[in-house]
Amino acid sequence: MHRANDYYGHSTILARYCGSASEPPPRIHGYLQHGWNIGDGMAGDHEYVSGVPLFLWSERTRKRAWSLGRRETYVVGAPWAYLVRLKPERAGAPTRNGTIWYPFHGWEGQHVRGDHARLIDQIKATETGPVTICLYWQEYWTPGVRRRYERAGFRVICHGYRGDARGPGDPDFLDRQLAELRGHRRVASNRLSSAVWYGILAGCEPAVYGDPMVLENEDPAHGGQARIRRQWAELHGEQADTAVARAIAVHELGADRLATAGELRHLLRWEVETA
Amino acid sequence: MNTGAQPRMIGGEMQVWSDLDGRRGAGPVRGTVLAAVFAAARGRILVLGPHDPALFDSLDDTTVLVRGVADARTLAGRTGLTVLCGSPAQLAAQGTFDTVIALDGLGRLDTTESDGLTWNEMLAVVHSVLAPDGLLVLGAENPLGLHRVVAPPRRLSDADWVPVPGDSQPATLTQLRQAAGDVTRIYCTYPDPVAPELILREDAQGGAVEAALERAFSGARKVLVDPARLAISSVRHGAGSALAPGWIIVAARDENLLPHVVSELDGAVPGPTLEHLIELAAARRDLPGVRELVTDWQSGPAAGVPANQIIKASDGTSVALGDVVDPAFALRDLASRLLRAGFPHPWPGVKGTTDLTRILAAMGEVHVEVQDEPGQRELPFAELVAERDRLIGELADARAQAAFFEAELTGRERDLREVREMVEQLSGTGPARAGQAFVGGVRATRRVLRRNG
Repeated sequence: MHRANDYYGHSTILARYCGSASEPPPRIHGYLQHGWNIGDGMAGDHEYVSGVPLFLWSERTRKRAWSLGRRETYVVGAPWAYLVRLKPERAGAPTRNGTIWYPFHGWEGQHVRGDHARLIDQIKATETGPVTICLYWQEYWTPGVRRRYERAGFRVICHGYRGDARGPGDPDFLDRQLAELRGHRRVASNRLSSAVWYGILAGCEPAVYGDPMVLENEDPAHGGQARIRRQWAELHGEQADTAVARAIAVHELGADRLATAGELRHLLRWEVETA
Repeated sequence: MNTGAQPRMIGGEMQVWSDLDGRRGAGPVRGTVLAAVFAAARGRILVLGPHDPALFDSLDDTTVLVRGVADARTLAGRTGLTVLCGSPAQLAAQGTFDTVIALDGLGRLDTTESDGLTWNEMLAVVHSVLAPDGLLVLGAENPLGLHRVVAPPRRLSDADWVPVPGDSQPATLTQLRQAAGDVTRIYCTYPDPVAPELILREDAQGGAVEAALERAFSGARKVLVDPARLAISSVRHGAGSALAPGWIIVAARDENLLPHVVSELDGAVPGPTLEHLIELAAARRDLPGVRELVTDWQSGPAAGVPANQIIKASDGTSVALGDVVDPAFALRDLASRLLRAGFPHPWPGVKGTTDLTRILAAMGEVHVEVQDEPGQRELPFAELVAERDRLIGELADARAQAAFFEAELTGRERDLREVREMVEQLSGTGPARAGQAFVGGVRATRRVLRRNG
């Protein structure tokens, strides 16, 4: 019922998992968490209507949401985890190569303050293989930012359009992201974020380093970057223990708590649409 | 041995009275489970108070005392039974007995015609007719029993001519034990001290006990809170005997003289019920745990047995105690229990038992036909209050959602209006007309060229 449910094609992925051929995907009765966060799972700017279920990614988020007064919660796991289950990596897949790097971005209306040039130098100094830079669509279409990374010799890509209040995002956004991640040995970013967790679940070695860049008007309520670095210290640095990272990613994305297709159909109120 | 048809009137009898017909009080102590208690009797037996005549079937050399003449006449024809009618004050002349059974306690022995005996005085009479090596089997209603806690205030019956017990009646199990004798063993009776369906040892615990308590209270109606839940809780917290509706105390001079009262739960498989495990997992939000338990249950032979009648043994095997009904019924039963008021189930926005039944089936990846059915269960008063509060909350939520949908609709109408305006502008403006004219001109030219070609 919320437009953010269609961001990144999330509702489409869940519809695929549930065996629904409906296009557009059926409406989700509830709010689906659409990005990893350190609060109650919901985006801070979203209007919340009481009595509407919150479908969260992880048990930790659920406990936190409960402590913040959210009661109608249910952990279903991240749509990404469903996608990874829907598309297991083929046995004879090509060898992974290089690093896919996600420079931290702001959202529409937010402005990042940071030094792209210094970040580029750090990436060059750290990464030994070829580097793919994945930009948020807003930066990808900002010629200044995009060219700066291209001139550094990096391949620059964009997974697509996320979606906004007016319309859904690219339904195959995450399919493209999964294909790219599986082409790389490493995933890296200057902030621990959804992309890094996704990469870990897709089999990449993670790294979080470089200037985390500051957002104007960043909400410090949940502790911000300082807390993220404290709480998930194992994932920060140019190298991380892959097994440890994977165990944490499975937890944060709820990959060990996925609902069955039938269960999800009932929870999201899709019985009628897919009957 | 008196096998004659006439009861012996010993004095103080009530001429127009019956405890056995149940029209003026609770009726006789009854229930097939009591046969195990009677089986422990030995030697010359005295039965005091109103007991279901069927319980005498297995007894020989038995004397019974009742207070109503009608009851005495009813019992008098039975072989092997000596029937006395009157007040216990007159018992002393009857000699001693090896076993005295008074499963109704001492509350319905005294008659309207006596001077009024206190509980202690009646117990003294009982002890006076008990042989030194004798066995006393005494029932007692627990004044704080959960059957009373869960019941609305009751009306007095014709049997309550003195409606409150005297001061000397024991108020606690400890006092009862002290009054009864040297060495005692306590059994707890459920769901009703007069008509028990279950007899438990004082310290009984575990899944089989909980399953039996569920069965014993399945007929509870017009209650304030669910008695089965309260009973199970009390047993889990070691307070089973403190809240049991009734007690049966077996007393003798020493341990060797105490018999073992056989229970249906002797030798029961230890372990929790499946329902308890699912409840724990659901309350902890361990959804994978719930899925695993439901899947395991619904893919096995016990799929049609209610989860509270299945014991999960420590080796992982399931033991079904109840009858096989039908998987849809068993799942619905579980759903309705998980939705009981006060249980912190994890399913948000669930719309009643049918809805949760379907979710549970989906969690267990089984296909069962779940029909839309109204709730079968009569809600205890406390749950009705909680249900009312839940509905108030649900109504407020529904209103908030309606307001949200309206705002959302307004927003989308605005989007639509903007798009329409854009379409109109594109189709009606100068450049659009010029474009249409250009396309029209191209088509006309092409037609001319084709004709000429």
